[in-house]
Amino acid sequence: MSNKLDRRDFIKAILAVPVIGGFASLFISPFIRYLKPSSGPLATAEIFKRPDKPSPVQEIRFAISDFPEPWSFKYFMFQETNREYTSVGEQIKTIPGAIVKTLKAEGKEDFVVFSRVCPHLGCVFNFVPVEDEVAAGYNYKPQPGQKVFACPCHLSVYDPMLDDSKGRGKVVSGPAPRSPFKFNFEIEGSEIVIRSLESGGIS
Amino acid sequence: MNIKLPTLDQALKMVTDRLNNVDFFDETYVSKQKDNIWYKLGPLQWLTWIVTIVTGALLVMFYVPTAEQAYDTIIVIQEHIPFGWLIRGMHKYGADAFIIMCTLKMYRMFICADYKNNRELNLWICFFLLLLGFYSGLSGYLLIWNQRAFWATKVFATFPGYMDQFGINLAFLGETMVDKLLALGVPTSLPGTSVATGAGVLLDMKLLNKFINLNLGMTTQQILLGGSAIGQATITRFYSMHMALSTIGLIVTELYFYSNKKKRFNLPWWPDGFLMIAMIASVAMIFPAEMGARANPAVTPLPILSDWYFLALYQMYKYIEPVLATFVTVLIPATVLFTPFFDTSKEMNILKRPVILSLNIMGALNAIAFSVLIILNIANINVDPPYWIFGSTMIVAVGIYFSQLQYAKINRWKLFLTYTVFQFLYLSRIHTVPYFGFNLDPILGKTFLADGPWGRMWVFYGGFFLLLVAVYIFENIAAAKTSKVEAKAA
Repeated sequence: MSNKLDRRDFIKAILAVPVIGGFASLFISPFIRYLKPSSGPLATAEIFKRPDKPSPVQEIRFAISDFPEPWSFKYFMFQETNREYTSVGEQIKTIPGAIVKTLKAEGKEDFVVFSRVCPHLGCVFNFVPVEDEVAAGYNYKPQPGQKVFACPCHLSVYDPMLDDSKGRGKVVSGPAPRSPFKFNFEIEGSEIVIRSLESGGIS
Repeated sequence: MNIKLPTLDQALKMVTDRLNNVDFFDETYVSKQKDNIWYKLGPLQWLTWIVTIVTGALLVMFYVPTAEQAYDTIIVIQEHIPFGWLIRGMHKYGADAFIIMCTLKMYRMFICADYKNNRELNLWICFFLLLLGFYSGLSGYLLIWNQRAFWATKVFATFPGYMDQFGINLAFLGETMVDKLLALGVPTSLPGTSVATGAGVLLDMKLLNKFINLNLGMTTQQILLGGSAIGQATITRFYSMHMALSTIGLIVTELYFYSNKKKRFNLPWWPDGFLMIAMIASVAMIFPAEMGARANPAVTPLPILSDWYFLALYQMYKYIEPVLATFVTVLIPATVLFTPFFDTSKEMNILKRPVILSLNIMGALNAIAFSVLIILNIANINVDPPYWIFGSTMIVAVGIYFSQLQYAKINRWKLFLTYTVFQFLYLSRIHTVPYFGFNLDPILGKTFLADGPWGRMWVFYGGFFLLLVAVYIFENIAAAKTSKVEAKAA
């Protein structure tokens, strides 16, 4: 192979760049749409938009009388329809959740309803009301009376009485980047109705 | 300073030289095998790869890639099909052997300086084969559809999501300019939010006030998983890529062997080739490949462990903030790929290339120590990372010290300068990010890195100062001894 480059080759090479680039860009958009068919016809713009949102399957109801005192809690399973790029087009996923009655505090609801899918890397975390257990297993020593959620995978600890920019459940220990994803709920008479889940993360 | 940029001819020559020196499986080093047995790794790498491909082709005859049937077909292969357990075991351990061969060969290439004399591309080939092994391993164990597969895939699919937080900082354009861009409809993750209140995911972290989010993370996740959750589409996609990547690699290497008239396996089949296959088969017989429990999206198993080659990476995720961990995960391969270009001396002896040696030792020690720690389930984000970073930098500092000792009479200021440049470019690269427009301080809030610049300085330069003290003491002791000897002689 000759290592000399004459002027003609140089000009050819320079001219080839926009031509090849143009052809390549013609294929990028269809290719990304092929991989991610939920993108619209203008995929190059569309891939920058927010993802297709999951939708709830069924609401879940709890009686308030099930939670007689602060820190009584229940786990539940919430079903969501997720987009899937198959011929079926969607699948139903089960999201583990927890509902906890918290202490009374000004400007806050009496309940927190969290998705138990850890916002860090997607493990399922638990409500750990026993302080000694948190201190022994999760590298975090709670203050007296402090009840926390804790994730067994990477030892993130969430305090439902503290807030971060995403609402209740501030991370007090561990690598998690934000508070847990929350369920949207309403209190209707003597019942708590859980309707949908804050979007984001992998389910 | 006299920096010469290469001309176009020279640049082309750089590329063609490297292309002419291509070597896939050590077929150009056959003559070296007698002196150095580590040059047999290349042929063995090829052999383990072929064992994996052949056994894989046999497994495909029975495997059904659907969420309902995948686990059952594995049980059928394992228990009811004659020799199915052996084929599956050899597939698994063949792949493990391939990854071991690739890793050892990478180390050999660094230690024996195989990347010198315009052969950097060979190291790249070996590294891409290693990545192929990693990806095939990951996509392969999802296909079993057991608990470990499901949760490991979840972690693997979750961490690219943090790329959403790699924004593009447009603060240098000024607030009015950014506002204009937003008004024009430039996408952000929180459409319609003004600059003043802050636009985008990065603001979740209070990281930046002005930026454009490309939504890279979510797009990558959805393309990987084939949707917004792990399910049937994920199995289909992983299955297709699991086979496609090896097939493409096989075609490329076969074309190369054919057109260059090279031999594929440059070792005698008896005993070397036979022994390798026998080893894989006997391991498959003694330690049959595990099944695990069927995947259950509602329960995370404890402890959650990945395959052995990802353990160190998982431990790192316990230690650093996820955004940075993702960043570092991308930067480790970049480091490996570009380090050879900085080792420009003609020296081939590893003992006379102390920086490369210390980098190799640091990498190996990190991988081993992290793997041990995750198995023992030891991780405290508030305590451990300083020791880790301190130790790593110390090892490299020793390498730099010896390189200075070797190439010049030691000059502490030069050493200090080298170390500073090294720190800023290399190990502390994540901390150099703020100097290029990103301010990562707020998201480092929970780790020791929150100690501020002076605290960080201590962690990064503490090792260096200790080293200087040690050097001072040792040199003075040595000087005192020699002066005593001289005094006696006199």
